[in-house]
Amino acid sequence: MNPVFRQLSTVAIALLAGAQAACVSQQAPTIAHVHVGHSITAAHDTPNREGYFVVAEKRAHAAALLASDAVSPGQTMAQIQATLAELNRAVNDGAEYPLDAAVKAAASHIRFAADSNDASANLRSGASMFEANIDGILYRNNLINLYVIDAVASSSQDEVEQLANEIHKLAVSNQNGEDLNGNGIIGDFARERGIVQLRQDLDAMIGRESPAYRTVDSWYLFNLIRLPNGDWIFRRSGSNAGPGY
Amino acid sequence: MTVRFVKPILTALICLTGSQLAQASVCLANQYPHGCAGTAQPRAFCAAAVQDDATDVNARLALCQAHVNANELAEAAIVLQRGLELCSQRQCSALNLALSNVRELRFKAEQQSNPADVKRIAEAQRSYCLGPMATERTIDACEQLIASNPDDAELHFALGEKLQKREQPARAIASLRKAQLQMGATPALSNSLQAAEQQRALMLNTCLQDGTLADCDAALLPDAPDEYAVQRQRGRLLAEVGRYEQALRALLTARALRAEDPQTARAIAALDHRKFAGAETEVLSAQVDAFRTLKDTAGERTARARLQALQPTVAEQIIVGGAAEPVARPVDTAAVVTAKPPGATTAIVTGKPPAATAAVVTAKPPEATAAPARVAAASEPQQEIVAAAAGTGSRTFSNALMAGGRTH
Repeated sequence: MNPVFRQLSTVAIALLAGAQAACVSQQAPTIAHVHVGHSITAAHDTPNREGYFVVAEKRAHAAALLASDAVSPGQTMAQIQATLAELNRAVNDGAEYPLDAAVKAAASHIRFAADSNDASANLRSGASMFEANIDGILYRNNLINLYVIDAVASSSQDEVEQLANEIHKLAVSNQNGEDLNGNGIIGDFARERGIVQLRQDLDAMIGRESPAYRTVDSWYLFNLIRLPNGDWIFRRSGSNAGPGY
Repeated sequence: MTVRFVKPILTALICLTGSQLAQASVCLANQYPHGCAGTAQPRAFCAAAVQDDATDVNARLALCQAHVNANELAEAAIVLQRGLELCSQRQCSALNLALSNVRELRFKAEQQSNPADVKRIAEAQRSYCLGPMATERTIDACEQLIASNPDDAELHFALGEKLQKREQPARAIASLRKAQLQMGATPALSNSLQAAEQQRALMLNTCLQDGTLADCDAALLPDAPDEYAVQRQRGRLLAEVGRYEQALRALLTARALRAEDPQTARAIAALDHRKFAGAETEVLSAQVDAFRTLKDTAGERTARARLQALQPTVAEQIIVGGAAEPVARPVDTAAVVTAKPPGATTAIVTGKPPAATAAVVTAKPPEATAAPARVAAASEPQQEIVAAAAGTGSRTFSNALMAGGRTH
C-alpha cells in the first residue's frame, strides 16, 4: 500500500475514533442524574445559575461570617441589627434563593431524581434520607428568623448582643453541624446536621451510583422539561432553548 | 405575513408597559423577555389577544406571565394547557417549557404550606420560648404557646423564668406555680419560685413606700393577702397621672378586697368625681360608702347631695333603702376578676349585684333630667370637695387632683 495512503488512512481512523469517542461523551445523561445536576451543578433560576446545593453552601457560609461580624466587639446596636438583618436575608428572606429555599430546592430535585423512571435504587433510598437530614438546617433557620425579628425590634444593646450570640451559634451550626447529644459525634441524627454533613451525604450518595455519575453538561441541565403527562424529556436541539425544570 | 409578525410584537410592547421586572420571567423563554404585569389593562389586552386567536402562542405566554405576576398560578397553568391542545409541534415546545416552570412555582408554593414545615415552625417557636432569651417577644411567644397548650408545665416554667428576668415577679410567681401544679416541686422550679418571691417582696416594699406604677404592677399578685394594698397604691398612682378610669377600677377593687381599710376609703373620698366622665355616679356612690367607713357624716352628706343632683332617682333609692352600695359595674381587669371580695361588695367585682342593690342598678333616670344635673355638678366650686376630703386626712392627694389632675 502506498505509504502516503497508509498514513492518510491512519489519520482518518484516528479521526473517526476521536469522533466516536466524542459521540460517546455526548451520550445523554439519565433524567435522574440531570435532576441531581440541578442540585449540585447548575439550575436555571439561581444566581449565576449555580446548583441549588452550591447556593445553599454559599449562603450558609455567608451567614456564618455575618454572624461572626455581629458578635465582634465594639459595635453599636444599629450595626449589629443591620448585620443580623442581612444575615436573615441570606438565610430566610433574601430574594434569590436564601439558604432555606436553596436547601429545600436541592432536596426537591434529589426527590425528582429519585422519582424518575431511570433512577437507581441508591438514589431512591438516598433521597428520602437527604430530605430527612435537611431538617436540622430548616429548624435552625426558623429559629434564626425569630431571633433576628426580636433583635431588630429591640431597643436594648444588651438584648441585641445576647440575641446575636444565639444567632451566631445557630449560623455556625448550620454550616458545621452541632453535637446536640454530646457524644462527640456531629450528625448522628438529622437535627445535628449542617451543610458540611449534607455535602458528605450527597457526595457519598453520588459516589455509590452505578453507572457512575458524571457531571452533567449544562445543555441537559437547562433543557429538561416535564410533559403534562408527567414524563421528563429533553427539548429538541435547535428549538427555543430556555430554562429547564 | 406582516400581520403574523406585527401582532406578537405589538402584544409584547403593550404587555411590556405593565411588566413587573422584579418577577422573573417564568412563562416566557429567554428570547422573549416581555411579559404582562398583574395590572388590569395589559392583562386584559393579552386575554383579548388570546381570545382573538387561540393559537397565538406569544399572546398566550404573555397572558400566562400576567397570571404568574399576579400569583395566579392555577390560571397560568390553565392558559398553557389550553394552548397545548391547539399548538403545532414547535409551538408546543415553548408552551410545555412554560408549563413546566409554572408547575415548579406551584410546587414551591405548596411546599410553603407543607405539614412538615408547619410542624418545624411550631418546634422552632417552642424552642424560642424555652431558649435562654427573655425579651418581650419571647414572653409573647410563650404566652401564645401556653394559650394553645395550657397544661404544658415546661412552657409555664420557661415563661416564669423569663418574667422573673424581666423583673415581673408577680406574673413569674403565677406561671411558676402553674408549672409546679403540673410537674411537682423540682429543685430548679423551687429555686426559681423562691427567687421570684424574694424579688416580689422587694417590689412590694418599693411599691408601698414610694414606688412607681411599674413597681406596683410588677408586685400585683392576684389572691395574695396584700393585693388590696397594691391595688390601692395603683389607684393613687393612676389618678396622679390622669388615668382616672383605671384608677377607679383599682380603688374599687382594693375596697372590694378589704372594705374596712381606711386608707382605701380615704383615697376614694379624695377623688374628684368631675374628672370621671361617664362614671361620676359610680365615683359618688363609692364616696358615700367610703365616707361612711370613715365615719365622716359631713362628707357622706355632701357626696349624697352631689349624687342626688346628678341622678335624683338613684340617690333617692340609695337613701330610702339605706344601702350605700356603689352602683355595680362590670370590672375589666384580670386582677379584679380573680379577686375574692367580702360578700357585701361582691357586686363591684363580679358586676352582678346582690338582690338588694338590683333597684339601684336598674334605675336609669331619663337623659333629659340627668344632663342638666351633670352641668350643675360640674360647676360646683372646687373648695367643696377639698372641704369634704379635709376630715379624711387626704388633703394632699385631693389637692393634687384639683390642681389639674396631673401631678407628675
